[in-house]
Amino acid sequence: MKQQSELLKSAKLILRDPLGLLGLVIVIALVGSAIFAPSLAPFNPTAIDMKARLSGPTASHWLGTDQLGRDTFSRMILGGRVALQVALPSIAAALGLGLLLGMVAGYGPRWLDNAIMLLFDTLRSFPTVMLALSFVALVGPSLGTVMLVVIVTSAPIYGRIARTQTMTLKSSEFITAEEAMGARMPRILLIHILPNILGTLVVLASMDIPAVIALEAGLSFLGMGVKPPTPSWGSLLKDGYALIRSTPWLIIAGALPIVMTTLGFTFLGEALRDVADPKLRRTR
Amino acid sequence: MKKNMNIEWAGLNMGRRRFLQGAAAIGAAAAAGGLPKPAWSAVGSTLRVRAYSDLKSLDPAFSSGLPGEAVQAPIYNKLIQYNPGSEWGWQLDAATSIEQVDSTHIKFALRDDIGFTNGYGAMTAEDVKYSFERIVDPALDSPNKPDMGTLSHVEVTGEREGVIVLKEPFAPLWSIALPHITGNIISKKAFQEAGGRIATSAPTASGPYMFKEWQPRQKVVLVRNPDWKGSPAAFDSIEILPIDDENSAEIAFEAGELDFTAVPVSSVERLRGAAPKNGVLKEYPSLYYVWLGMNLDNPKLQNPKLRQAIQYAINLPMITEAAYFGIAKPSTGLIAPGLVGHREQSLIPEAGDIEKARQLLEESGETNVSLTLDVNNTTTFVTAAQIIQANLAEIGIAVEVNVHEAATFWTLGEEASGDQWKKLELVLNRFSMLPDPYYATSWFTCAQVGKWNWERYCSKEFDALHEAAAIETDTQKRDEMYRKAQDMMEETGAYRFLTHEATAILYNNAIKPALRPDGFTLLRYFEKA
Repeated sequence: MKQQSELLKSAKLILRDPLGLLGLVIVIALVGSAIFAPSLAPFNPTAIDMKARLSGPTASHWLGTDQLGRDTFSRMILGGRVALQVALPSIAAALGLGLLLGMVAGYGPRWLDNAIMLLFDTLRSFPTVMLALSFVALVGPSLGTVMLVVIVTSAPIYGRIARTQTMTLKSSEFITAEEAMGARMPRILLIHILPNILGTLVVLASMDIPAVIALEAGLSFLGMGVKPPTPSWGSLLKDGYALIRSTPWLIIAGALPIVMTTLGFTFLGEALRDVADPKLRRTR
Repeated sequence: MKKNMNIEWAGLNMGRRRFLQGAAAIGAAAAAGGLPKPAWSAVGSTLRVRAYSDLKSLDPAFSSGLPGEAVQAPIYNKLIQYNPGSEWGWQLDAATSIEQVDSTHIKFALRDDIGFTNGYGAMTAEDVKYSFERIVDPALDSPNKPDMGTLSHVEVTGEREGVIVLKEPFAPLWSIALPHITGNIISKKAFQEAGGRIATSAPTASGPYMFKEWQPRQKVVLVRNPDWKGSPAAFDSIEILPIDDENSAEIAFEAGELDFTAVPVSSVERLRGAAPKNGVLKEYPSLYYVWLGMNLDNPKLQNPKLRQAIQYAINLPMITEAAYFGIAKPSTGLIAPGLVGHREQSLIPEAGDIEKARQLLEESGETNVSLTLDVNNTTTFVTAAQIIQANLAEIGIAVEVNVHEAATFWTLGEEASGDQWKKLELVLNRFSMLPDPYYATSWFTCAQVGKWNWERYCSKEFDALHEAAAIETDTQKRDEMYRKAQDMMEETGAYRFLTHEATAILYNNAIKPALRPDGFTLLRYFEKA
């Protein structure tokens, strides 16, 4: 009951924050459109129609068509699905991996901590985009490659935070009490430490989603992301850039959802952070 | 204390009211178009042109591609130069006379008024001998050696006279070897002092312009050669700016940063209706050739009926319309219209034949065919690849398009870059071309398998035809030979020739550009309008 009321209280706090509410609406719209994309898209996003190519916005093609006569609005909607298909699972995997390794590093023996930190530092020493391009050059462009890059580069960030928080909690009295009663490491980490650090990391992860979407779009813009003819916001941007002078609606269709997604997740993430951190809320 | 509001400049004392009145009058006149246009709206006496890549070498033996030649042609002389205009041909440059004595001897005499700058003296036949023979010298290992074909040596018969001696007749001598990169005559003394080769700094020049400086990724600057005795150079300096993206180059032109640039085909229709202020748009047929190749050594493509089905399924007008905005036309082979060896028709109809493609696929006995198509990462090629993907889907062949950035793409079929050539199935390729068919067929011989011949087509008959055509001096016979060579390529099923593309250029109406028939710049002949 207490947990339920805490959740309700948090939800109310978000709804009372105008920017948080706006972020929530955008995120729900984005996720909703991604889930129901095949039903929402008025046209097959990969169907070529040479007669309709490069048409401006019309009643049937709300955002015009591209150089192959494909409906830009449908490609934008389906592009959102690709963006979330990359962002949500890869951030979730990176969060899970980072949490696990971070907690083990923070709670385990010193040698293990050193080894995991060395691994994190090594992975973080590669610039994300350069690492992504190297992966693509080695294994070829695909959604899986983009997701792998996100997991490899994001997990150390979450891991470091999880480790720091675990080390702080490790010396708490309730952990010492658990240890005194013979609790083993897995139980302490999963039952006692994880619930206390998860909130912060979830907020952080939600704010990372736009960055991952931008990375996917960037790689697709460079031709290193999803394969044609799969629609993605990055490939819309690429096609739009080539035709920016004559058909600007293409680049708008690629850029607008990226901007909206970034704003949505950022507003929501900030609202969640405020909810999770009452001190910060009071200072605003 | 009130400040004096008068504006003083060069002794002119003008009140504020008078200044404002004058400024308003100038503004009104300008708005009405009543003021004369400045002679040099963008450039003064500097010509600024765009190159699609940066300078790599100023050595004719080691520079490759058109950007290298664009820089070298104004600073070096050749015996003959391409004619500017719409017809392929050549004109005398450093030679006062040049004559084909027989099929393997070409006699030439040099002008007596050409000298090398920085004290390297007059141009002599020894310089010509040195320039040409070093290209074919195995010790130098010049990548441009094939352009010199069957050159044996150059006999010096006088200070300014000599004879070019070929081992065998070589028809492309007049269309590639002499008027292109390998034909640039350098100073023997200067190059020997530099150790036999140079990089990105030229010790001397003999043409209407001299090399001044290269700012990597910024520009190459050429300046007028004060010692040049030929037709005077029109500009004090020429700046060649490397801008790989044509959209960016177009914007630079509109901003007044360029006087001459190629523009993307996607812009042509818009520019036809509304060219930028002071801009002139011109369209040229290109010599490039674009084709879909199939790796004959790949187990998935061993069935000739399957390859033919692919050929017949592809609709060229769809590709030229979608990827080239209707500016480029479908091609019939490697060799563009206007050149010896051009075919009026290919064996496969332009628009393909879907029914025949389906029938061929059925006859092949292949089912559930799925193939990969590798393409270079440009909007044009990715668009063309998606049309091919859709065309092949119509006959039940699934195609996965793999997009590669340029550096990776150009290693895909190279054996020297690893075993990835074995996985290559379909590939969308584009080669540049010079105005002789020899240059096209030379990349598809057995010797080129695993180098530039990614289809791995190897036919002794084709090789023999290629070699025989190179030494054939009868134009009619050469024409037939090259047409047959393209028929042979197409009959393998490994090639679907797509287009020769098109070149669209935009230039400032204050200049008078000099271009080859394919739109390539001949900067030394550019003039002020």
